[in-house]
Amino acid sequence: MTGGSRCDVLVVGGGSAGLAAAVAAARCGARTLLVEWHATLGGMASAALVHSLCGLYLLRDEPGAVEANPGFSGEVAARLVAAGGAWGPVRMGRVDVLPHRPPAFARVADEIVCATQGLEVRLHSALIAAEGGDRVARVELFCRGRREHVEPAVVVDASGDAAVVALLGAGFEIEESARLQRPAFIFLLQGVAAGALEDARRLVVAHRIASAVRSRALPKGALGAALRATDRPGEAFVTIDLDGPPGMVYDPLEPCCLSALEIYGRGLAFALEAFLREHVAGFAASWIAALPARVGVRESRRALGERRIETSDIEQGAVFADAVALATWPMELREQATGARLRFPLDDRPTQIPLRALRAQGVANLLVAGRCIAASHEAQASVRVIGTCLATGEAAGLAAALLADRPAAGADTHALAAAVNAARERFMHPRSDGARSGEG
Amino acid sequence: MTVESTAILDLPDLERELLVLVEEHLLDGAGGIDPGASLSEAGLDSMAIMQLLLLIEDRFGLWLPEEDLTHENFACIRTLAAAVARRQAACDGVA
Repeated sequence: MTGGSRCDVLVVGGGSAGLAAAVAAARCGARTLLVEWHATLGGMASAALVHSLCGLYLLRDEPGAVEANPGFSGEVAARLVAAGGAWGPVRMGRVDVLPHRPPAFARVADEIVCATQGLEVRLHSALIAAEGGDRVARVELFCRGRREHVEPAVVVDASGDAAVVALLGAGFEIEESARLQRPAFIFLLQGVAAGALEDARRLVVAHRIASAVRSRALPKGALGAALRATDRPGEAFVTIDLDGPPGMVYDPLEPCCLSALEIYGRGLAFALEAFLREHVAGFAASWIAALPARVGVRESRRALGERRIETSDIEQGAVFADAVALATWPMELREQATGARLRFPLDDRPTQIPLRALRAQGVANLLVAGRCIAASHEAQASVRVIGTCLATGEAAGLAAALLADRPAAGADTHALAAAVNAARERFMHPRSDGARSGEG
Repeated sequence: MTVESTAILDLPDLERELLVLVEEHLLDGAGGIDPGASLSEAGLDSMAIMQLLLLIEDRFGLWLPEEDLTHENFACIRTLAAAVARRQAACDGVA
């Protein structure tokens, strides 16, 4: 088969990175196609029920949150707050986050893409093939038994799993199973009594769960379950990091493993619901109101790029001539499912993300955005958060549009980075039309 | 549970041991937390305390009861060490 529809920029994956990439590319004038296999956009921030946006603000001791990446991430945050779908920023320990409601993120994403000219969205659609060598020539999409070929000028791989990179046979790496960041299983409780998660009570809840795990009344997997009240009465999110059923070797790319993980996660959720109802004051009338559409995978393939963001880059707050975004989240290591280990950078410095880390090695018209950009295993534990994914997505989308318009621009990554930063100023500035249309 | 794990340490030793536990398991490479500095401001949330409870049990053979789970006790390494020492002394007295 030959032929197929054409577009300037194809964005694979409609999570936060893909959303940002597609909107940025289209605003920059590229005819853009955004492909997402869920029915909603937002990925982790909607389908996986992640309920706070991390990496939006600079790390700092002083009170008051300061935006790290003005542009699309600030636009999304402002729209969420304006729609009543986020409240904050809120300081948690040493970091500022923006707690949000996952359905609101999905709705804000819909509003933004609908207001973006030149952007076509395909939900329920998956990428199943990519052909080419030193450039992506053609890809195949699949929707409910129907295939479609697309010939894009430039592709942004925002799949989270470097799926385009893998299908094309381009370079990627993946950490050994034992060290992969464990995935999050998040569910929503309602019917929680007022005050049940107030400060002093939280310690008691933590103690009850830890005691129950110790006495085997709860499976070990429940350890580290984190409860967070929302801004609505009676509502709390519960996050459990999953190791999977005993004996399972974790592989986030293996369908049998993923299936076992989802089933195990739901089992744990209901076990915790029953435990809390019976043993913890304030939870007697609580129930599971929402399960995630899928487990929140934190790490899988990482693309090889022109420059890998190294662990030392995050530790030191590296500076690059081709910087296109800032990473500000500490390395949040979750290699064990019992809780996070945080590693903060020297003097709370932000790390500049070089455009070279968003360019797939050896494939001229392929950019990578989101959690699968070129980064070491530990650096990925910083750059994977949603705020940073919005920023790398925006940068990759702008670069893709510029490359689609003038392929020769790819020869000099540093000059392209300067053009990306100029395009952000022109098309993604908070005062541009697209940013204003949803507010009222 | 080993013999060492139940040995009663003096307060400065306890503080050092707790610092090591927190740095190894909860705040990687924190670069020396001050024993008097706020644990929550250092980035330790209340759910990380679950881990800390089990780490303390693992290291000192001591399960802190629910009444010890106060913000005062978990304010900083110093107050936590004092709480662990009190509980150790109480257990020792019973034994």
